[in-house]
Amino acid sequence: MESNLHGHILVVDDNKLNRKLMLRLLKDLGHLVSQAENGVVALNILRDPQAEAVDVVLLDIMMPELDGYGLLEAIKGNEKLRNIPVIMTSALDELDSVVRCIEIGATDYLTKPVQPSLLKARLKSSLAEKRLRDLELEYLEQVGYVVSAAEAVETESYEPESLRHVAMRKDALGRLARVFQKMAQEVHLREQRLKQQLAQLQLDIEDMQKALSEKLEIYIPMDRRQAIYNETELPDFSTGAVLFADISDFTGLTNELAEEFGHPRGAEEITRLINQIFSALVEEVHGYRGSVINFTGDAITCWFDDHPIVNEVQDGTITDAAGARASACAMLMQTALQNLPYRVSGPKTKMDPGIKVAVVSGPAFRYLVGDPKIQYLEVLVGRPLEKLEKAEGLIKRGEVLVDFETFEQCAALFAIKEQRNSLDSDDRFFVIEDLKTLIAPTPWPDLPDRALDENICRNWIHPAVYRHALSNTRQYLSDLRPAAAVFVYFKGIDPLMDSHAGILLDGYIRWMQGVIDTQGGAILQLSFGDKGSYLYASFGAPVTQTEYAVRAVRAALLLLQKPGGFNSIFGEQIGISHGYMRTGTYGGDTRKTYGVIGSNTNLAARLMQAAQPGTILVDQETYEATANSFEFTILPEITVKGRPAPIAVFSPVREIGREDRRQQLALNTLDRFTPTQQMLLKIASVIGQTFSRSILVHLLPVETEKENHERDVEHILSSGVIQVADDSDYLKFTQPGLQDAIYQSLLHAQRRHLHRQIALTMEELSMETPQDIYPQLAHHWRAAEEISRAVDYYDKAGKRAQELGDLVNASLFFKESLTLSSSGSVLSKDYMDR
Amino acid sequence: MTNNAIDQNVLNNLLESVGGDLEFLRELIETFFDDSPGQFQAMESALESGDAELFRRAAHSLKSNSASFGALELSKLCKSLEEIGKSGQLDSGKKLLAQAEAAYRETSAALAEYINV
Repeated sequence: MESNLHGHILVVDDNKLNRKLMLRLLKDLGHLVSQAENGVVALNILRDPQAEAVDVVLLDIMMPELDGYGLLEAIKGNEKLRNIPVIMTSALDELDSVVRCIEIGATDYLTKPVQPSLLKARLKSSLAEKRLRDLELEYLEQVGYVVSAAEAVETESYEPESLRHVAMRKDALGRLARVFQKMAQEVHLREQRLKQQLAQLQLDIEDMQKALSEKLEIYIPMDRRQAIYNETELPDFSTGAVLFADISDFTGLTNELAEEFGHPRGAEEITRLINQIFSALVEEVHGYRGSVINFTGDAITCWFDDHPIVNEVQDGTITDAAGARASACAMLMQTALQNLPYRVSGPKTKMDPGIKVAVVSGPAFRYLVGDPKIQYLEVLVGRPLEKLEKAEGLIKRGEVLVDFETFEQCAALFAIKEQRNSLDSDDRFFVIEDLKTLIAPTPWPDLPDRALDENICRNWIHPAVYRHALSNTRQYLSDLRPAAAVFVYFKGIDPLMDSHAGILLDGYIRWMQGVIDTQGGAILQLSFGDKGSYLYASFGAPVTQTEYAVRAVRAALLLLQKPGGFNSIFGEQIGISHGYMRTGTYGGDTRKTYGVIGSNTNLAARLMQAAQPGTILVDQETYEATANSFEFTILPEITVKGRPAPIAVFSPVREIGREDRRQQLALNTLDRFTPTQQMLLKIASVIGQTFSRSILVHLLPVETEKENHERDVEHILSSGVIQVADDSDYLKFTQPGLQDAIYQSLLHAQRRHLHRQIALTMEELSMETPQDIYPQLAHHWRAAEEISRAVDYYDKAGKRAQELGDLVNASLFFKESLTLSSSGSVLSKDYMDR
Repeated sequence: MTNNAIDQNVLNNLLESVGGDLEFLRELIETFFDDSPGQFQAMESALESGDAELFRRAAHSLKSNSASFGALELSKLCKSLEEIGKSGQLDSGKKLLAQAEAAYRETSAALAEYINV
């Protein structure tokens, strides 16, 4: 340690002899020594940047030129020198001067002639002090480096090397520097990673911007848009062609992508891909003046009118029949799909979606139903839609199938590959090989930017979707989240037979919308046919809510109780399933919808088909999520398409209210016993969860016999409703909820009376040791509404607990007493005074 | 070896403080011999010219140096001289200076003896 305390000492003395002696003494002590005969020379040495820094100055006071005071002041006034300790050397008779020097800033003094031991001691402490200050300064300097490094990280100019020296320190600062280096390194790496993700994010941002700049009108079919713009109405009934295009196996792909990319990445990837596909498909539809009427999961149903509404100038440009335009469109859809530049693919999932397309022709009804405050629903109905149902099962991936009517209309156009006949009808279909003639596209006239009033557009968008669309939250664009799918099937509206079918349907849909909306659900799809119609509603999305499954089942039960005005509608069948589903807006750049799609959608539809008319079927998961709220009938397992094994199904019968459930429990239990036994249970329930057998028996009316009471108690015991508590005189209710349920089932007056009887009996039976039951007595008197007695017992119970050292309960009892007395009822002044 | 002019103890302590290096002590004493006449000369000329500061400083040095070697008498006289210089009343210094010069002669004789031993 001592070796560390050698330093560079500057001796300043005009006296040569003194210098010589001091020089010798200091060298003997192992120091490096410089000397100066006056203050000016000393200052030059101190300021010399080349020279070894001076650690201590030994300073004589009386010198020519610059004397000791002058030099001392110069040193203390210099930023760089002021930390150098200065030891004054003086004669004994100069102590006055020394005091002055100490005031100026000298560290210490030595009297001449200098005692070597004192010199050594003074130097040692001065050097130690100097070292400490140097370390302090170095520390501060290096702290400065770390601070600078932190600033550099902020300004992204950080150099890891800048902390090398500080990091070598063994103290906390060194550790800080090392930790900082490590963190800065991590920050750097993360930055790199972030940059890599930036490209991906850029894509996402594009998507989002696209979504935000989206016009609300793309939620409306194109023909409707044109009609609104031209201030005309679409005809309720018209001829044309229906094109149906289904992206095969997309639901399966959802699960694969979800696994590969995780949530919600998988949902986003799927949506990105499906949007690309739909964009391409819709472009063809609009190119041939068709309109996407509905999205059904990953399929679209489009209408091509023989005489589509356009503005007058361009009217008459359409020469090709709807069937020809739709067929040309269908062929181009297949080509477009082949040419899609897929942006999305994971290492495991290969994207190879195909589409099935069908074109059917004929007259169709077109309805707009529903409450515009909630959402308008577009409905297409008629013979072509029925044929479509038959065609769906006959198409393979990559094919275009046309019905006989379309074929007949444009026979010259088609090169036919093969004919396919429906198995359960007379319908014949043809697979198109190629088109012999080119059908030129006849796109819709362009509408001006934001041609339609936003307030009109909103009628086609569910309010929750509209809100989300405005809130620009990225999560909303697509997400995998839990939701319940409800499919409702109904019959009895036939547009061919009933000219008021559209009005009836509108009324019925509005009523259903109201019921579903009240429960927080939304109707997503409506499919209408003379043989039966169905709607698809979702709960949990787009409106986020708790207990969406309960709400779904509740809504379903309510939907079975339609008002009398809809009596012509019958045969309702409802299916409900819930789980994770792909939710969000999707579709093409020019036509979009909001969807909730997943395997549970399919299952709900299957359950709907399997349900008996007038009933609801739910799956196991929905049953489990809602079993507390509804009474269910458990049905035999059924086999559904898409599920390898039979599945358990349940049918909700009615909702059980909370009060109902408790009441039911009490009544069911009491019904099993004789009136006397019931009375025993009722009294027991008033005493509490645990009750004394002797008090119980004592409380029964006098006219009944005691032996019988004992027998009754034994009977109840054997039933398992009550059981023996720790002490044979004490019994308790086996089910914790039962005591409360029975108690709640009593009339108020009856309860109050029983509490009073119990309090009196307890007072009577515990004459010798009432202090043990003060709390119970307080409770019963309180429930008997004799407040002053209750306050009295709470006070006693509090004092008793205090005596026993149970301060927690003591304070609780006193608090009860206080609460009761301050409630003011039945209180006499003497209570207040206490 | 006994001489009233110097305190042997001081001289011994000084020798001890430099590790008994007699050669170094001799060098110190020789420096004293070299410097001291100049100091006296300075005081004399200061008396003539009335330069009290010069007088004081020379006396101060001589006081300090003589004390180092245990020449307590000389040191005491020099201290008086220094005070005269400080007071500025140099007239009273002449006699005292003569006494100091006498003391120096004794001291130097004693020191010369000491280093020749």
